[in-house]
Amino acid sequence: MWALAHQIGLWINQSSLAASARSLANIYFWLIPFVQITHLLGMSVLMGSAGLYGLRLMRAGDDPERLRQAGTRLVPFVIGGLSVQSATGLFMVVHRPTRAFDSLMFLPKMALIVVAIGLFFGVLHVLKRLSAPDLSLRLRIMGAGLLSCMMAITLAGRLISFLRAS
Amino acid sequence: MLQDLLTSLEDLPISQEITDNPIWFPLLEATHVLSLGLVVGAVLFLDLRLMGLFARSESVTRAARVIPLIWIAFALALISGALMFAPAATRYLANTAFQVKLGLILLAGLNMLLLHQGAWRRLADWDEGAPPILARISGAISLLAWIAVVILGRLVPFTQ
Repeated sequence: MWALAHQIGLWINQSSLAASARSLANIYFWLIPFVQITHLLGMSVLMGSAGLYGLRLMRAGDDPERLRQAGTRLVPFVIGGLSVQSATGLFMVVHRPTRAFDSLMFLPKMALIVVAIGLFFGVLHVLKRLSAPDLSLRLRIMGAGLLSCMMAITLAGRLISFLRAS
Repeated sequence: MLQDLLTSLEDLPISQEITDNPIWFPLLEATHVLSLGLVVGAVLFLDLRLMGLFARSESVTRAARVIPLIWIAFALALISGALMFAPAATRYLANTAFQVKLGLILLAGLNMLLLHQGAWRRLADWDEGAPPILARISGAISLLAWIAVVILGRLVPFTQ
């Protein structure tokens, strides 16, 4: 799998898109810090919304309707945070594809993002369908999963440049 | 005297260990970013509630349940930050972005203290409703200060 990821990294690296990203970063010295800062701020929004919603789900005794309302209120922040993360993350990957694809952390991070999105919207779906007595344990497990995923995504993101597959 | 203090920090055995062992810096940096992300993420929604811009149907008391978590995450950020600071204390303290970042963390702390000494004492009067102007201003200052802390933290390696 890592060999395939390495090949994908090399392929993107040779593309005109990667050349354009590198060229832009050379012209505008502030571009990379700007993209990194925006990525960090987007991460904080996601941690405060999806991550802490997971923590709230883990608490016992919250009314399901109140939980559903709280989750619905966070949807614009989750979608906004994800959009910012996707745009800035994509630029960073295209700018230095081998840094991402040669890392042990990049593919697990992407997989965890998919799981976290599924869990967040899965919780909202479950809250709509089930009645209070059925919810408690399932919600706590999903909440623990969501918070763990968000924390693991953040840690994996920081470790991308340090842990190499080859 | 300050230089002596910085040099002795750099000479501490733990500073040498962090410099010599390549596993420490990535671990400390990842922990610092995670804990700061938790602080800023939690503060963001609490401040938006204080400003009356988010979750107005929920009480401020309910929104403030996140405060213990903010303290735990802040302590973690402080410890990991101090451990990254110690091996290169002289270089960090000479860095303008780092100086301003520290100043903003102090400002955020002072702002929180003023809020607790002022509007927070009359929380029962506005817990379920619109926050008073001083609480709104405090929320705005806190939000801007923490966003600036993230920005400056990232700018430290890019500046002198």
